[in-house]
Amino acid sequence: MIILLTEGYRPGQVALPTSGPIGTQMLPPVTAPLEKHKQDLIILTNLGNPQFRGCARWGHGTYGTIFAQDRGDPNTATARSTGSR
Amino acid sequence: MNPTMDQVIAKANMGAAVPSIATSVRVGTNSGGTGSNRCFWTGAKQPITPEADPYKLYNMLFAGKMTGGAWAWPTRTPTRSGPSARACSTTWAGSLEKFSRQLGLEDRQIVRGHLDSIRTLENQLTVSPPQLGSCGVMLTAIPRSRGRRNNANNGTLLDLHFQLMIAALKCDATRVTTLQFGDATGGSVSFPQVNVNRNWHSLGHNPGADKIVVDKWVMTQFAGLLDKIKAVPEGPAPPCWTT
Repeated sequence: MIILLTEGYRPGQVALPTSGPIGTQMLPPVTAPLEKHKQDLIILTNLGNPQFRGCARWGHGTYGTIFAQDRGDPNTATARSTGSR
Repeated sequence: MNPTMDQVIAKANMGAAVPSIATSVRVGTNSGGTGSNRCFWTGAKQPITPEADPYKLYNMLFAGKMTGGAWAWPTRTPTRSGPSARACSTTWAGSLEKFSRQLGLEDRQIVRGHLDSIRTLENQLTVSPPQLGSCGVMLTAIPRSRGRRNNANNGTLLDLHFQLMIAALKCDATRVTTLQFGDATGGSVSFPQVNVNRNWHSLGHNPGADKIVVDKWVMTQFAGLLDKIKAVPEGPAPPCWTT
């Protein structure tokens, strides 16, 4: 199961400051509701999509590429391939 | 544009016999176009339109057994495609495939994606629906005055979709489900449940203390989903359910 927050997050409020097993540490405020499930979770932060090469729609158009191995905004893929961007 | 990973996993686990299930809560139609409103794709120019109405989804999944609910569609016996319909679709699918050979690579992929979708639908129509008893789903209706367009209902809507996703997995109606909560901008989502009436987009740009409050609320909903999943007894279940 994967859950993705597309609207950003407050650093330090979602993940623990250090990498590694969550173990017995208390989760920060935002993820505190997941405390009883934390042994089943992996929290990844500071992710990017290096394949994405444009901000034709400020990144909003990348929604469809988040879960695909792709570099483009679906809205502009055709325009890019024809060199009209 | 490649298929999104849900489609890759679905195809690997289910072939074309059973569709993945895509649901949504408060996906807007504002800035960003289709690429912003659709998170899941079967391929280039093939966005998956998620179902926002849990009662409609219920009827689709469980063969119209739902009779109540604020957004329930009229109960009806689903039309099952017979041999003649399949023969007909096979004929025109062959013609379309023949035609696509004259097209460029990109357009051929679009035609192929379309044909795959039709074949999935065809299989869906000819396979017996899951039996309600084996899924054990009981939806709780909410009053019509507080429908899908009211952000105050987001928690209830998420809960209904969670119930359906779990039921569908439980009875092997599918092995892959997705849920979009809002679109890429988050402009359609606000959080009156926690007294935050700014939308998610605004909170991303100017978070203040509200951002932490709403993200915590979202994680609380997610924890509810995990609670529900863990409450499903272990036993005979599809492989993906236990891994």
